[in-house]
Amino acid sequence: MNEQVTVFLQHAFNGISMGAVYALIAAGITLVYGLSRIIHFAVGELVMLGAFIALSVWNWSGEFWLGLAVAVPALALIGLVTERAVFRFTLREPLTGFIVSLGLILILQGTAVEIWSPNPQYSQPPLEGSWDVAGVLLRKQAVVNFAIVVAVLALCYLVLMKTTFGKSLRAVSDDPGAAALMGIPVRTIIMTTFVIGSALAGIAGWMVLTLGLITPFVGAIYVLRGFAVALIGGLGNIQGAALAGIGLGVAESLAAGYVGPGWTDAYVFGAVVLILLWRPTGLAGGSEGAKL
Amino acid sequence: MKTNQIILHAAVAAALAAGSTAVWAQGKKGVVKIGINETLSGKFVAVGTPPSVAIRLAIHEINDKGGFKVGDTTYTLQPVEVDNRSEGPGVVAGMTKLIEDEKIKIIFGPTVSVLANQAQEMTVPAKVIHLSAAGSWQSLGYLNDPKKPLLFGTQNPLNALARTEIAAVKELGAKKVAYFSADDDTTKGNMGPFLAEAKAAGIEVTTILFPYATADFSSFVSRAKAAKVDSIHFLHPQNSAPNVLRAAVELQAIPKGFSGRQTGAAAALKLAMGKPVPVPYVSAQSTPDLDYPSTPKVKAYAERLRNTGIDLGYNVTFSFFTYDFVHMMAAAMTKAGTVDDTAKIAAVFGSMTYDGVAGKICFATNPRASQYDGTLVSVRNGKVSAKPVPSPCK
Repeated sequence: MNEQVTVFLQHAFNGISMGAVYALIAAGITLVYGLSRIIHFAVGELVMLGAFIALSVWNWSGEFWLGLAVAVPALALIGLVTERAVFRFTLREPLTGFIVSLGLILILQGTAVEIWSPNPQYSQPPLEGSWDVAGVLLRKQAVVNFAIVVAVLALCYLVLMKTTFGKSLRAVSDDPGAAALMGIPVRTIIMTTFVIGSALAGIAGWMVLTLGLITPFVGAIYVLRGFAVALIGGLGNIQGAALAGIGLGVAESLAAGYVGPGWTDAYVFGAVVLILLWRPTGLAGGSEGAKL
Repeated sequence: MKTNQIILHAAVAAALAAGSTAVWAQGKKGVVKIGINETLSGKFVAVGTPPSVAIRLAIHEINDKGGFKVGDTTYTLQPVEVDNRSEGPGVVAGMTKLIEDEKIKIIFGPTVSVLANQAQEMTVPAKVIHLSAAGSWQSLGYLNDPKKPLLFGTQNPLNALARTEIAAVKELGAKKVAYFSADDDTTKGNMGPFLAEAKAAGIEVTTILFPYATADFSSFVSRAKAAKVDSIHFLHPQNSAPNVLRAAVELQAIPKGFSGRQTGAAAALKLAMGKPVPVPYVSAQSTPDLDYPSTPKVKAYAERLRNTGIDLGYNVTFSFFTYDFVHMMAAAMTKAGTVDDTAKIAAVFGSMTYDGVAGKICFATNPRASQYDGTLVSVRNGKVSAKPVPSPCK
């Protein structure tokens, strides 16, 4: 294969694997927003907690994969607790929920610093090396991460589109009042989306751990990208989040590979601003007419 | 962080209590406050913690020995620490407290360049002796500026550091190297001397700067590979070096190996892949190494640092940016015969040679940056060797 093409494909794959993680985080954001209209800005800290919980499990057991198995239910539980203890009181005023989520950032960061120290922590995921596909090196862990994201998002899609629960969820997203009149337990459905959204953050946290380095402040990297992806994909649109996540990852990677790499964030978020000026509800539509 | 601070406060208090039985000279007693403005929380916490802990350790040791004499008065040191939270407004608020409220005349930190640049704008007019390892103080000419005679750089001169870094690249046998670093003031300060030394050595450099908060380095490493480099040389943030190293190994981007500034042996032995990396690796250190100590003094210091019980993390060698300078400052005050006249103290401090843990320490004149022992730590096939880079001070 032509060397330039190989290099381009290498950058594209690097971006797809990272973009998959963004998509996962954005899916959680978009689920929660679609039903509660709450902009849950502490999702980055949920990702961070997922990473640290997985790290602790790995350090304790020596089993890297066990970290994933524990982080997901642990984060689901945290999602349940935060919804029951905090967010359910803000459902009538989503802006209050947003402010509360900002406070949660500090609380969760401080908790992580106390438990795990502010110092960087390292992991060494067991899958090392890469597969050579026509000169493009696919890092094994990145391929596995991508496969997990595809499976998880496909499952989310199937649940949303093919199950009674999914129909209820979409009904609540479209019109909570009408859904309630039809006998759908709106509060329970909303609580469940917080649980699912947090569990997705748990999976994303484990994936962030596979990158090698985590700190209690790592959430900031992901929350901005997660929201950018959710906005581009259209708030409330899970398919849009998946595509926009991959798109953002590839855009970042190509910027790092071909233009001034130090300004990668500026190029990418500049493009996000332009897209949102052009299509305020995202490329795939969203927010007003949720596409759950 | 608070827990760490409480532990250290308790340790210092206990040590002082124990030290009350030490020899206290007859006559007058006094206290000199030492200000610390560091990144003790926020995104640069891993940079600011080791220098801060080292200052407290040095103060503890000086006080434990009964303090130091200036004339007929015996002085002890009192640390006054502010956490700038890794933010500019925090630096300003902290300096206001140290300079205006506490009337402190000797201040350390911040270590991070962009914050240290802001900090010196307050200490210079206040005629405070201000010490920082910030590379930008050298590159921006602050340490050459006759109007800023009380600023002291506590890291080796940048051109000396660059020479050590190029020695590391040469040890790998690389002729074309990718220079990896975050796109920030610290890099801007250090990159020029590196590029100049590389040019002089006939080494071609491809510069790859990335956003500070980068998690996945695959794309940047792929860019280096596309440029057909022999090796990667990593500047900072040091704690990202293991990630870059792993990506570079897995993407087969570094045929000759990997080098870094102050990245330590642990990156290659364990942190990157959980086992020794399969490529040659060299860490060019502007300080002695604590895991592979070059002298008994360094070995004993490493032990004392560990005994504080505080996990200083990946950047533990940053403690050398302050530790010896507290002892040196006390010696300078004794020699100058004053604890108040900062110009007089600075004149003595800047011209003395001090035999510290990091070897013989003295200040270059232009820039006013300290010089002390460095180290080249090499890892090949899991075996570590350390080569001292001796201080030029006599």
